[in-house]
Amino acid sequence: MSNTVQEVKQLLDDTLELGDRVQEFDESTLLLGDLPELDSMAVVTLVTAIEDQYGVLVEDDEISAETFETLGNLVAFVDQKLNA
Amino acid sequence: MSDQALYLPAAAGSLFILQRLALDNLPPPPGDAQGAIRDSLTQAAGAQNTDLLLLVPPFADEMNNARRMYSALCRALLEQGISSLMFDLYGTGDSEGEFGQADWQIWLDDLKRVLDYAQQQLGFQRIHLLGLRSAALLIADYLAQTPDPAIQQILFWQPLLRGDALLRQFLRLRVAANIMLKPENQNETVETLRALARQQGHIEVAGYDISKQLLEQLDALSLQQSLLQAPRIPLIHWMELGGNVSPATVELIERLGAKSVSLRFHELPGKPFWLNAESELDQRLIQHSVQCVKAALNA
Repeated sequence: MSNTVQEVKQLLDDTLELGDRVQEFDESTLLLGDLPELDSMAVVTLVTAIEDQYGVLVEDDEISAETFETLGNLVAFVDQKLNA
Repeated sequence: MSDQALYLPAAAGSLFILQRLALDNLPPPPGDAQGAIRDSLTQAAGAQNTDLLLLVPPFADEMNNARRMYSALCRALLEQGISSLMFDLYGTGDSEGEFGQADWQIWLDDLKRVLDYAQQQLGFQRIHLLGLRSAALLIADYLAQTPDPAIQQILFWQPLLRGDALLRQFLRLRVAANIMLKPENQNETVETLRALARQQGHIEVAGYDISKQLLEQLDALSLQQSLLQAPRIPLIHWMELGGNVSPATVELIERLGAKSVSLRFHELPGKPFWLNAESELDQRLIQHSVQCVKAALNA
């Protein structure tokens, strides 16, 4: 499980260019609405990056405010796609 | 040795061109007999003046984010005495026209016009093409339709394989924007947006007005199909960044190899700079690309 957390943090860093800040993130860290870098372009980029990295397909209704609310939610989403 | 900006008349609207020519003498003003221009340029300083790198822009925001890299490559080439040219497609950047009026046929014609300009008005007989991401689709489609012997080689930077993937990413911007700004549009999906575009004749995404026509044309694009159909494919330098080469890319490259297409695959470490307007410049990619052009000068 912790592997996914690290990988998703890395994806966030790569996509949003967060630098060292991402190291301090934990599962409760708020993303959407809190990170100024996470605009709609970044959301799409992140979704595409997740698809490319894990070889999964993200449905449009999975692109929701809830999925991106916190790091924990995002990690849970990725885990769920991997285990689907 | 300076940046020159100019407008080139084209069918739908004039195109903004930025050229960086490594010439000791600037060419005579247009209006001279084409032969005179060509002769004066071939007499000028050395073989390098016959070669030009033409950078083809990618789609929408990918170009906004990549412009710095394109310019940096042009400057690096100029330092080696190699000329280059960048331009904006109709309805984008500083070229004339509205994005909502743009379509693929216009863009193909734009590319042809710029190529003609480089050869006939500037006198460059050997053209190298470079395309980042979706620009590869335009280059490939052009090659599929026009055997152009002046084109020496093509540099692809992380080429996008399919137009429908491009479209999906683009339409997803609206889906993503909805979750943040317009919860009342929660039910919009890429599929419903496609249908909406068909119904309305156009659709608004991320500040771009995209016509149903362009949408359908993009949907149909396939790098594989274009390259396999092309009567003549010059050498391709295929450059991928970051290490996660998709199985589809590997498969396409194998298929091209089986058809005896000359292709060099380069895997370079690096980040997807086209995703972000503030990305650091990827100097490794720039230098690598300069080397590929240098290696093919008047070969």
